[in-house]
Amino acid sequence: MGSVSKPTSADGQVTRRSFLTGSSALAGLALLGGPSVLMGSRAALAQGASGTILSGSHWGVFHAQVENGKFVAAKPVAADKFPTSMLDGLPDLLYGESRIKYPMVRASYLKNGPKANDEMRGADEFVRVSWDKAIELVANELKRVKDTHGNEAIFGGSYGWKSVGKLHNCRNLLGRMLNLHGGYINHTGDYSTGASQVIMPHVVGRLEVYEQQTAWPVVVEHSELVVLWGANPAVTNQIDWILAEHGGFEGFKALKDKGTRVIAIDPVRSQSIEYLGAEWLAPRPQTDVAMMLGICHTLASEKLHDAEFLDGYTVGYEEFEAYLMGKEDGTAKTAEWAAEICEIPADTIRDLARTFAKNRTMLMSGWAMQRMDHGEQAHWTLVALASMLGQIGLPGGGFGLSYHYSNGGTPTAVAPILPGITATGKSVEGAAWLEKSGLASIPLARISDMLLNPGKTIDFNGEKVTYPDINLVYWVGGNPFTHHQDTNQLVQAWRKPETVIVHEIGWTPTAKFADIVLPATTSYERNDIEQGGSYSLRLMAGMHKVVEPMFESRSDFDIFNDIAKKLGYGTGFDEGKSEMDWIKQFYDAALDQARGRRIDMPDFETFWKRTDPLVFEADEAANSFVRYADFREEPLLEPLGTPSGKIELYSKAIEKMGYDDCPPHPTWMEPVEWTGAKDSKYPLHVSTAHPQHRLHSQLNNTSLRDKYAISDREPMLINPKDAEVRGIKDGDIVRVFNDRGEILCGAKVTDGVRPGVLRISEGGWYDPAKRGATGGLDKYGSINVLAVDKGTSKLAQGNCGHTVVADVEKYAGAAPPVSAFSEPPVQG
Amino acid sequence: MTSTLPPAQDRAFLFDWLAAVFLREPDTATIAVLRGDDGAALLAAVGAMPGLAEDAAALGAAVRAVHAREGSDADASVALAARFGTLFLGAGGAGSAHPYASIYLEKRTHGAAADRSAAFLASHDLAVGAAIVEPADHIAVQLAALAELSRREAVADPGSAGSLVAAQHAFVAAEILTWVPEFRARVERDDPNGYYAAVARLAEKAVTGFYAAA
Repeated sequence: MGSVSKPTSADGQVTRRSFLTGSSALAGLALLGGPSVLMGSRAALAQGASGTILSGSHWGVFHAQVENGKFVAAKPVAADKFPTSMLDGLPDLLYGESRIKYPMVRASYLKNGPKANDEMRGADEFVRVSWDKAIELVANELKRVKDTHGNEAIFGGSYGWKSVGKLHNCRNLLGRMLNLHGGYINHTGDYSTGASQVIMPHVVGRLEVYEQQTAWPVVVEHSELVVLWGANPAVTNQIDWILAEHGGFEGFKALKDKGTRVIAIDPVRSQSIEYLGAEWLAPRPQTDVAMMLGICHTLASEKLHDAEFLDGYTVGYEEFEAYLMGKEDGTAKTAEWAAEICEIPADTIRDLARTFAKNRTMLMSGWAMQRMDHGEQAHWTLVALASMLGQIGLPGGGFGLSYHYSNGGTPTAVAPILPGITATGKSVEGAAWLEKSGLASIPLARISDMLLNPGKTIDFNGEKVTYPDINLVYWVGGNPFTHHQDTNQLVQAWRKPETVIVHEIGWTPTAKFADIVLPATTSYERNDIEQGGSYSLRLMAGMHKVVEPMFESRSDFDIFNDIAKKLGYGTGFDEGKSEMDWIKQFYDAALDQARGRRIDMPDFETFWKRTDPLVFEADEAANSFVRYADFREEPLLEPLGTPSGKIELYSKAIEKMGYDDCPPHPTWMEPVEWTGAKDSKYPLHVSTAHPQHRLHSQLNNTSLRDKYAISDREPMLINPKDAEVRGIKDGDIVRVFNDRGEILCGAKVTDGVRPGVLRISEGGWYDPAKRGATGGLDKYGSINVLAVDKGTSKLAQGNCGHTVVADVEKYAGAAPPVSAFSEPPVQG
Repeated sequence: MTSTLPPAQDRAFLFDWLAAVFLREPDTATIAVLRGDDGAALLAAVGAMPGLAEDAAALGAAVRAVHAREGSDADASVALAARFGTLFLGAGGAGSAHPYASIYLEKRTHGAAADRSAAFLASHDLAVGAAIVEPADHIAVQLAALAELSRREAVADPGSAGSLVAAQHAFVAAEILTWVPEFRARVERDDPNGYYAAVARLAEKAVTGFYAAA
């Protein structure tokens, strides 16, 4: 087109004032502008890269397809035989409307500093700042709080599922930075197994919940009956704490192909039940303990229990049986007694007892039954039941608490263990996430209580814990405004700290409640390394950067490194090493192990060039692993880690604690709210299981929502009987409510949920109609607005996310549009 | 050229200024200028361009209003920066008016619309500045492209000028008018009398008015 002018200056910047002929009254506008928006470019349109790049995620290892510099799709690798469609949502994390682009500071906080902690938090607008300014603000505030209040005023517990990767482990990176600074208050426990992980050591002398299960080949070969109790592995095994390799699906498929009888106990006819063709029993929620006690009573009274096993491998059966038979409290826990509570007929309960006893039975339990009031009792009672059946330690018998989680039961491969970045700068034995870091640890589900009641002392597992006085909360890789119970109370509690700092990828409900928000990269904008299969360790993959960081996002590693340097800690954080230096260091440590064990692994350069993951195989021992077999075979030489060395059906340790809400043997106690209460204010229980197309709240802000949202809201399953009396039909927007709050959902009427129960999955993004306020309407459907914030008992102080009773009605009038993820279009 | 197409030089200054307004928050000095006599003269000159009188005046009034409410140029700058954050950076996740064509056409950023804008820039030997981390379908980039082409047009021979005008027309029709009206509606929704509502209306009226079909 032959332009006469050459608009570019030597450095490529487009100059503005070069060719002005005559004057323009608008020339002064040039003074109000800034640097040029455009630059000259003689190069042909620089095509972004196109190709395929190997990376991975909680949802699996994949090939990222890149077109013209954009991440367009994640395709599962061949090694993943049961990939999840959730991979389709990954590119949306980068290009969705909710992406955080620049460092942002809440306007009131920017103007007034800390002490702007009021009801504007969560409602305020945000102002962009430069990275230099952001780092300065964070460093200054960390210094101020340390100098004024001490490190005990800094909460760095930061719970959440973050991203996979041995280097970009943002929770450990936060701890690492805070430890350089002198320490912080950490959390203990988690929202997954809060009650179980504390009581299991008392019962079986080990953590149990995160330990390898009897191998799937053994279950398929030997189990004659599998009981799926409050577990939906078809959904939950899509994800893994590290890279998912989906071996659990192979196990369940083999079980299905064999035709093994499966009985499933669940208020909802789940995807697992449909897949396996399982027999479906739907008790009243929160009554699993009573139902199990009814089964135990039947075993005892019909002399079906294994007295020899109980005698040789357990202590406390005498006391437990006295409780069962009514000798302790005057109430025999008969099948009739149980039927009254759990609404499963007494004959069925007796049948189950006989069926369990007659067959080689594997009791597979999920974690819902312990995520409710008195949750400690659930798995304790399950172990008691399994002990009475006497099949613990036999091939295909006993109980398993992790077949539904991270594909437990997939045989453990002969593989080294990749180390990762630590919070303490020391190497860690065993389960890396149990690394002890921090000045003190608070049972994490007491977060609101802690913020609202500094100095209060609570009981916890035989000890006393006194809440610190928190003035700074730093959260990365987590979303407490979705995972914590009683959101309205959390909003109030959240006003207590003077400063809240959050790193996030998108504007989650938690990011919206921060003072300083720093944009973090996704895994796909940085390099990392990770293994696949928490239990199987079957894969190892380089997580190669797919695209350059979007906007001004930076990795948490780089952010914390800058903060540490600004605070004067030199190379204390990065030890002078780059991202790739660290990744190579982790790999080389694993390579050393591999060489020692004669496992075949390439050198790092070769590994990093691979376009597919390394695959490790299990050996014969792993394929035939039976949990507790060694204990069963040699109980004296392989005692359990309990005081008696045996399974404790009566715990003297717990007895000594004298807790009114946690007796010394498995006990049925009515939950603080449940639909069986005589004076229950609300008639419906809400079952809050893990969603099918999310990882908790992760990926709610992606196009995956098109698969499940009903009328734009979180779906609510309701039985036709309950729907009919309320005039609720498919697609209706409904208001679900109790004394703690109200949420909107989209209704789906189905007999796939039993009467008296609503199913609303956890993880929906809290979307308050009035931002920052307490007590308003949540427009999208975050069920934790309605859940009770209470510890399971003084023993574990676990969270009670499944203790929710409520009612529902069709929403009157026009429902306010959802704005949690994007801005609704302008009406009219 | 149609009679609604203002002189190329004027267009260059206007579009460059609008681009800057959409790309960066106003600092304290900018607020002071806009409030003062120099600002009044500049806004009057903007208002003298076809169709822009009402909104140039509205912008001046909005600056004075935010200054009156906040009490100082510095605080007014923070208040407008907060509006900028909400509207154009999507901060806080509510009340946004994302300034990208891809959002309105494809419900995402960095969509095909960004590729098309980038291709248009490249065809004129232009690209988004190296220090700017925004995609090519950002309204600031699109307006800056119109500014640069106008600038070249101002010193071009009539033949070349004609094709530069045609290029601007085509770009406006294909890549700007397809989304800017909806963008402007979103900017206006929560604060129709605000500074950014006035700026968005100025931008929309400039591109629709100046490049109206003959």
